[in-house]
Parts: sequence; structure tokens; C-alpha cells
Amino acid sequence: MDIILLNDPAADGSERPRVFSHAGVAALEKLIAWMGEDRTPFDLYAYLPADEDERRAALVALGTRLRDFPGAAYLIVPTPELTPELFASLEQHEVVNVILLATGEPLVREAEALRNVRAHLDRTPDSALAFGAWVEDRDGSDNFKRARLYLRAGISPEVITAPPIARTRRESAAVIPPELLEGVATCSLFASALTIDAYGEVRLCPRDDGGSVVLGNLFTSTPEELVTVKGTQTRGIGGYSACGTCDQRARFTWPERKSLRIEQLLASGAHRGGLADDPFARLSVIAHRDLTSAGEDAVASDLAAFEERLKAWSESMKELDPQPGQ
Amino acid sequence: MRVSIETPVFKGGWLIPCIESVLRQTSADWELSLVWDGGDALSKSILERVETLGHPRVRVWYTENQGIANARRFLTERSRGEWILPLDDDDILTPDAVEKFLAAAARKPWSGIIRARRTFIDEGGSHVAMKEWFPFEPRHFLHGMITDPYNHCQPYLIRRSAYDKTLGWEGFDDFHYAGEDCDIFLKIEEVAPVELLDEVLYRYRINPLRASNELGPAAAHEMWRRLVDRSIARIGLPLRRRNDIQPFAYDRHEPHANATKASIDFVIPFFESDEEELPYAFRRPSAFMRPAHIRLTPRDDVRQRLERGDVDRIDVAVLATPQVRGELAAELLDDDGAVVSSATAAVEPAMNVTKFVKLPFTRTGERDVPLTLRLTFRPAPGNRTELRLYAIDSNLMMRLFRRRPGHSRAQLERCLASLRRHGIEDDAIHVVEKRQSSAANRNEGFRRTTKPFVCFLDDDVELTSDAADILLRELLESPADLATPKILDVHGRIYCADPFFDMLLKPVPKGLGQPDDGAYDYVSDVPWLPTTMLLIRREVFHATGGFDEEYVGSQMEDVDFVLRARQRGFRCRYVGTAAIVHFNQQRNDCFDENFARFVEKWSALPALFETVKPRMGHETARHH
Repeated sequence: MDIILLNDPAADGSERPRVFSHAGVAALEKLIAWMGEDRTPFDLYAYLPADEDERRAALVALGTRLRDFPGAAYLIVPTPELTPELFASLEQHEVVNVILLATGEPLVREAEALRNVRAHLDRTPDSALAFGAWVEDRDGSDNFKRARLYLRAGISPEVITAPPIARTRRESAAVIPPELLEGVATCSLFASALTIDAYGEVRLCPRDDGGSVVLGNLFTSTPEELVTVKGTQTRGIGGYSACGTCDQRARFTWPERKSLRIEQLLASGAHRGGLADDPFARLSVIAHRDLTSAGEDAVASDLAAFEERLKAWSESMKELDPQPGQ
Repeated sequence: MRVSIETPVFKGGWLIPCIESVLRQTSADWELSLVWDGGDALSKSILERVETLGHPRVRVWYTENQGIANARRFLTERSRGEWILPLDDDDILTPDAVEKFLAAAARKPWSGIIRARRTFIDEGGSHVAMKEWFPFEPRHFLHGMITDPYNHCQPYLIRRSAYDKTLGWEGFDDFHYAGEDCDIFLKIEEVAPVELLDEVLYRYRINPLRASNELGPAAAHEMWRRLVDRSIARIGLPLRRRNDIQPFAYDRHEPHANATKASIDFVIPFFESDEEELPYAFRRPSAFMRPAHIRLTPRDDVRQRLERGDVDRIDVAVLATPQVRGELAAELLDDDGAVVSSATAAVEPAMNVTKFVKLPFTRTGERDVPLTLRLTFRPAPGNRTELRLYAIDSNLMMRLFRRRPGHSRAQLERCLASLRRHGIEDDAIHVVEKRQSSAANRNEGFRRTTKPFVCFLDDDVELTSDAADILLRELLESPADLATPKILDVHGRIYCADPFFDMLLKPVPKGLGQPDDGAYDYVSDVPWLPTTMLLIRREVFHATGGFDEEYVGSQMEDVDFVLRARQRGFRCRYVGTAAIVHFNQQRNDCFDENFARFVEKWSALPALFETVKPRMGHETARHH
């Protein structure tokens, strides 16, 4: 499960602890260490903080402290904010992976910022910086022009044109897939990424930043709790207000990486959240009678049913746990 | 897999839901080990089906009947997890038991056992509203021994590394080898603490076939009596149980009434370094001194007058923050302002902790004259442009060192010579010279000892009085279990007297820097003691498991050890009628990290930090 760290574009000046603070980075380290224990790869995406102190803390964290895990850390930078000063900081702190975020600014401004990228890459051929880009998926011709701008700037040729976590919201007439509403399937962004806002609160997804649903807090919840509580909301995905205005519905798939531990915690949470019976969480389907005083037929029947359940369990574990005993 | 769930199997009646409660855990971090202990055919039949599955997470063995304790031992010897979770064959785990136990283990890595709560179910699996018949609270101790051994039950998670330090699962053969669970609590508690987790993680099935039903109350009481008596003997406590029903009370006797200092083994951890620390201002702040911050920016400098400039290294205390990176530059200036020597050192980011930046100087000739230290800070590009230093009473917090090959060994020889001068034989002195933490060296040193009393001594201490005799007499007469004398610095001023905890839980001494005019020449009960010179009864070490080797370097592990002893009801005495001299060669600066661990471990037990109240019939302070 990937981790997405949001920023707070309009700092509220409150005293709430921030993710990019002493305590916040320590909590992130614990979360990342826990997620990395089963060696399932995952990535970390962090929006560039607006506040100067937090920005420096984020660069230090991404460049040094938050590197020891089976995946990559990406810093998401709105393209116009990529100034020469920021380049210098990125190089200094050895933040390698940068995703440029097209913000809907006029193409002229984006072109100018992208020229800085080109100039920096030309000036420092040994730079380890690697740029990707998320160009918002829009209807209209600007989209194509925008993508071409990024390609010409020397950004990775695999410019993603449908970023699921662009920060703007738009009204859209797209229909929510029925399987989302029935809770049988879930939004892949919700299921495959843990979204944490600037204050450590876990959100449904980046579009729900500032919304009313809080799924836990990085500072006060254990990693297990963060994932399990997230699972409890599985049934509601598709019905939240953030879902109603999401213009990415059913038009993208966030990469999914299987982790047995994460899957089981989500399933447990989903069961608690009232989803259809999860046979791995409910015990009432299992007979609790004293078999030593049951008749022969009852014993035989229970043993046969037990054997079937054992096989079903073993089969279900093969996909989730391909290397058992590790 | 970090958790080994272990189930000795004897009855098959409710074995299926027992096994399935494990398969349905929310956490995948477990293995299940089952041994058929010569029980009924039904249980064997169920296990055969499990075995046929051939899943690597679930393993099955078959043995002749050997009793519950031996069956548990069999499983623990073959399981692999870092933690052990015993599960009875007719009970079930809640679906999140492994998940919650592991979360608690991550929060309290020092635990030997983590005990959670249980609820009750009937033969059909329905909840039974029944009050728990065993207490769920911290265990109680008197004179080092537990008074309420029945204060335990399932579920509990055992740390394997703690288990491996004990004799393992044992039961009483005349009780079908039962009593093993109460016994393992007693044994583990001698090496690591029992922590409580206030969550229900287990469902205990009330049914007529439970083995515990066969024992009956009389047998249970007999078992508990035997277990505490066995523990008293194992630890070597000078106690006799006074009553038959819990809470147990104990009479204490003194088996060493005629002991002399010949009954003491001395353990000295030695860490060689070729440098001498020079006197400078305050060696460390006392409880009531709060350092001021001094901001050092590129536009200015900070100066500190040094009474003598023959230093080879100066360690400057700075506040390391995530934003600050750069170079701290230092110059030693003579009275004309000329630079005599210079040094630079990198300042690295850290998470808001006090760090000592080491500035190495090149000595040019003898500089045993006053000099001025000038500090400037050159931040790295893009960093915050100020560095915070600490000062107390207008003196920078620093430590000054001079290279002196063989200095620390000379300190050790002085310590040893003072011991010999006071009649301590060489075979009673155990110097542990290994490049490891003081805790590890002391634990290793203890293992070399045999006498009924052990004195831990720092290598930079000199006995100037018959402190060992006086401390021993105090242990015998009070009676007490741990004792420390008054500690003086090389100038004869107080370094540590009558220690206590301040409001922030920091261990602090009284009298720091004051003249030794007799104001602290008394004896009192105290909440902690330093290991500069610490005399203990041997059984204190056996009852507590020794020093926690997770502490880095040489700070806070002594306070932790003494709190463990006090938690078990041992008595700590400050003996101001004896004194030693401490030359204070501190060799690490990991106080912040060690203190953070200490607070995490102990802050939930505030009673241990209070000033010790006087006992009935004893004075709090006895002046001589």
C-alpha cells in the first residue's frame, strides 16, 4: 500500500502537530518500517509543503531518513514552483525523484518553468534528479499541448496524463460504477494508498483533504489501526461527497501491490464496517459444540466440513501469502 | 513470523474452533504449533486432517502423554517465533489477538511477558457474563518476592529471548505437571518485566472437562505455595513464607549477619580512552539549573574564557535540529587576540536533541595559560542560519579533554590501589574490559562473582574511607538491599548526595558543587542510586535480571536497574556517612536517547518517582 502525504496550501497557523515535524517524521519512520517488514514494495508520495520550515524538514526526510524501505520516495512539486533555489535544495538534500504537477496554470507559465528544468538538466549532467509528470486529464486540446511541453522539457517519456491525485475538484457527470456502490469493489486509490494530510490525519483520498471523514491519526494510531480503520470505510466508498465530485471515477487504476498483512487488516476492518460476511473474521459459522459428546454422524459431518474449510483457507492463502513460513 | 502460537492437545471437543480462531487472525504474523499429548482419538483425528493440509504455518507432532508443562516445553523448543502465545485446546483467540499483541510488543520492547484480558464463553460458544477471578493489575512484591502469584492468567505473550534466560516450562508431577503458567510468570519476571495490555484477546471456555477443574482450590493453593517457595530458593532471598493463603507475607532473616568486606565481590567495567577530562565550570547541571540558549549566527561569534588552554579536544553542547547543517569553527586566542590553534567540526541535522560537537585541536607547544575560545558557525547553503548553544551562568556547556596516553588505565590502577589499601583481595576484584556498554560489562562482571554481596564500582573512583565496610554495615543493620555512599569530586566538593527525581523524572543529586561540610552526612531511603559505587545483595541481581543492555553507553542503565529493584520491594539507602572520590570520566553523550527510553519504560509507574516515605519504626534520615 503506497503512502501519500498531502500538504496544506493554506496553512491555518494552528498549533496542531504537522507531519513534517520532529514527532511527525518519527511517526512516519515507524509506519514505513512496519510496512516494509513483509518486503512488499510500496512507494511514498509527498506534496511539497508550502511552509519554509516544513519544506526543509520534508527535503531532509525524503533525502535521508525516509529512504530505507522497499520502494521509492517521490516529491510532488507544482511545476511553477520549480525555481532554481528549489533545484539547489533538491540536489543538496539528495531528493532524487520529483513529480511535476501541472496545476492548470496558463501554458505560458508552465513552459517557462519547464525551461528551468531543461536548463538545470543541461547544466548538471551528473544530476541524479529524475522527473516525472502528472498532467491533469482534461477534455480539450490543451491537454495534448501540455503533455508535449513536458516531453520536450526532457521529463520521462512516460508522462502520466491521468493523475488520480490532482488537487482540483470539478463537477462531473461521470457515473459511479455500481460495483463501487454495492461495496463489492472499491476505488483502487482508496484501497491501494494510504492518504495522510499535513496534520497526520488519514483521509479517504487526496480529494477528501479537509473533508469530514478522518480514518485515524499518524500521531496516535498504530500502523495496524490505520489500515484496519481504513478498511471499515470500504463499504461507503462511492457514496461520500468526495466521491460524488471525483472526476476520476472508474477512469484510472492506482497500482496495486499485494501484501498479506495489509489485505487481512483491511478485510478485518471491512467486516467491522458492516461489509458482507468475511469468512475469515466471523467465527459463528463454526460449530462450537462439544464433539466428544456428539454422535458419530455429527462428528463425521463436522470433521468433513472442517476439512473443507481448511482447504479453502489454504487456497485463499496461496495468493495472499505466496511464501508461507517466512 | 513473529508469533508462535502453541497448543498442547489432549481433548478434541472444542479443538476445531480453537484452531480456526488462529487461521482467522487479522495479522498474518504467526505460526501454529500443535502437539498431540496422548489424548483422545477425536483430537488425534482432527490433527491428522490439519497435518494432511501440509501448510508451512501449521505444524503437528504426536507424543506419548507427558503432561501439560512438558508438552509446552516440547513445542517451545521447536517453534521459531520471536514471541510465544500459549493457547489451550478448548479456548479461542479473538480475531485481532496477534495484531494487538504485536502492537503492544512494539510499544514495550522491554517486556518479558505482555498479559491481556479474557472473557468467558460456554460450551456452545456464547458469551458468559462472569467476573474474572484473577486480578488484572501490576503484581505486588515484598522484600523482592511476589505476594500475589495468582495475579496472572491467559492470554499472555512471552518474549522468547526472556524465556531462554529461564529454566523453561516446568510443572509439578503430582499435579499432572500443571502450575506451569504461574511458574513461567515467576521465572520470566526475574529477567524482564510483566506488562499489562487492557484489551480482551482471548475467550476462555467454561466446561466441565478443563484440567483445572480436577485440581480444586486446596491443590491450587498448595501449588502456589510451592511455586513461591521454589522461587525464593532460586533467587536466594533470605525469606520465609509466613502464611498459606495469598497475599503471601514473608519474614526476613539475615543469613550474613557476620559478613565483612571479605564477603563482597567488586565489579569494575573498564573502557580505555587515552584522554583526560579537564575541570571546567559545571560538569553537569544540577536539578535547579536550566541552561540558557545562545544563538550563534554567521554574523557574530561566541567567546568563552578558559582558565587553561592545553586542550586537545572540546566537546560543545548544541541543539541539533532537522534544519541546521553546517560547520562549527573554533579558535583558541591568546590575550593579544592571535590564533593559537583552530578546529572545525560538522554539525549534522538530528531531531531536536542535545548533541556534543567534537572539536579536535592541534596542540602547538604547551598552552597551560588562559586562552579564549571563539566559536563561529558557517551554515550549509540553504539551511537555517543559526545554531543554538547552551550556557549555564554565562559559561558555555562544554567538556574539555587533553590527550594523555594511559590516563584511563592509570585511573583504573588508582582505583584498584585504593581497594587494596582498604583490604580488598585481588580475587574479589573483577575488571571487565570490553568495548561494550557499561550495562553489558556489569552483567558480565556479575556472572564472574560468587560472594553474597556485589559492589559495582566505576573505574575512575578512589576509595578514601572504608566505604565498603560502612555500606555493608548499613545493608545488614537497616536492613537494606542496595546502598551508595556520598560521592565527592576531585576538589572535595559534593558530586552526588541523597539522590531524587525532579518533576521531569530526571535523576538528580542533591548538593552538587557544594562544599562537603557535613550537611549530607546522613542515611536515608532514596528512589534511585548511581553505580559509581553501588553495593547490592546478590539476590537483587537474580530477582531483577541485571542491567538492561538496550541502554547505549553508560547513562540511565543504573537508574533503570535500581527502579527494577524497588519495583520488587527492595530497599535503597543513601549512606552519607561514607564517601568516595569520583574523577568523572564520562565517555558518551547519549543521555537524551537513553532518557527517552527510560521515560517510556517507567513513566506509567509514578509512585516509583516519589520521594521515598519513611517506613514504620524507622527514621527517614539518621544523622551521625
